[in-house]
Amino acid sequence: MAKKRFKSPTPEEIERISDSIWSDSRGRIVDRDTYDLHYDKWFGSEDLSTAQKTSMKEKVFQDMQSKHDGISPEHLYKEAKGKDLKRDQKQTAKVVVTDPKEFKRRGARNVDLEGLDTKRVDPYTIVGRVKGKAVYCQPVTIRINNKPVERLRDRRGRFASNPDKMR
Amino acid sequence: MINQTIKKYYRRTDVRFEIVKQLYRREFAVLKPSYMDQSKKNMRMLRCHNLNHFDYIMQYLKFFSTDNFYNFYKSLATYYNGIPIQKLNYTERGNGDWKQTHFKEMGSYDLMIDIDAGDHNDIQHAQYSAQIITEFYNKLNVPYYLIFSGKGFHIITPGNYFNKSKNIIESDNIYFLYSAIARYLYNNFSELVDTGIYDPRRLCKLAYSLAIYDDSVYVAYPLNYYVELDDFRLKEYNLNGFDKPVTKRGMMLFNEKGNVKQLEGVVVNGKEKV
Repeated sequence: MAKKRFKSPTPEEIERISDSIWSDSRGRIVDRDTYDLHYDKWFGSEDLSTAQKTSMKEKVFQDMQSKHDGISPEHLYKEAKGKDLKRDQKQTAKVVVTDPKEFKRRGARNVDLEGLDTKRVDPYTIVGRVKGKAVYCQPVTIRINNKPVERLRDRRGRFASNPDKMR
Repeated sequence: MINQTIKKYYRRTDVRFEIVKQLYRREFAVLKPSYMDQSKKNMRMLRCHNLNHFDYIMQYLKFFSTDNFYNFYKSLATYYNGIPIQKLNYTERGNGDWKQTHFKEMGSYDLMIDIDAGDHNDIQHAQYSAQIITEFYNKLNVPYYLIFSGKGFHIITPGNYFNKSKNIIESDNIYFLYSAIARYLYNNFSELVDTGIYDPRRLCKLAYSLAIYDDSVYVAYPLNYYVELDDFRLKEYNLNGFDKPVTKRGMMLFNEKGNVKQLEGVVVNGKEKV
């Protein structure tokens, strides 16, 4: 059986593909790597030759770039080559924002060029005791008689006993 | 050096005997320690009802001839006929049907309260948590085994004290009850209690087996007396210098003539009738 000849996509089709990929990504495409990731999600397994794939990919990218500002043609997420953005985020993050309100105030997105991400570290790692219950706490500095003192507080804000003094 | 000590420990007849004794009609599993390369296959669904089975599995794993060590686990569930007889080679196995319908063969399913310290430095908090939970159990006359697991404690109540469905599809099943009990203990006694471990195929560490970590090896030793918990010292359970008795020791079931009615009442109805 003869193989079907590949028909190069029309400009309307390119536009349609571009729009659908952009809406699927929810506006998260910021560079070539993020674009590759979302493009390959839909067209990675298409039975096309390498040249055909490249040309179509390039056309769709150019169309998207012309429509939306802030899409860089560079590869910003180099480490994982666009395959695993979280891995890149972990390695490139300069500031780790843990508070959701602060995250919103800074205008950071899940994929952000500044390297901001949503990685949260649970600060409650030290075990203390509150009313006879073993709880996870975090160390805080409070002022007693105008002097800074280190204490433990649990998730509810209750002061916990010092683990060093526990038996 | 430590590798030789591990091998020497598992060559002891009394240790092997105590391990095999717990595995009757249960699933035996060998899993790689978390710090090791996970590319090696872990093995589940092993049948180990006697010392010959155990030796055969050890031989298959090349446990004594290489340095591939495993942690040993048993299932919380017991099965009427045990795990199906089968070959150890994965490609020749076919357990798909059995996995679908295994709850029909389930005789009992133990309640395990897992108190996990997270770090060996926090073991005193795990000890304290185990103390207050066992006190609570004693107050309600709940039967239980108490086992040191390597980084925490397991408080295991045999499943034959509970009378609930083991089918996870049914609404009023045993896993909901266990989860509720764990959440109750988490809220009232200790945040070290793990609340997310209640599903039909859960495993727990075998008593008298070794808990292998990257820098140390501990013996998962059942604590058969209250004194052992009160005077618990982590050093004594380290494999280096371990000299506690194993022969004919078994596991002590505290409050053997008790029941779980009060515990269920406390958790389900929120009423403590003591």
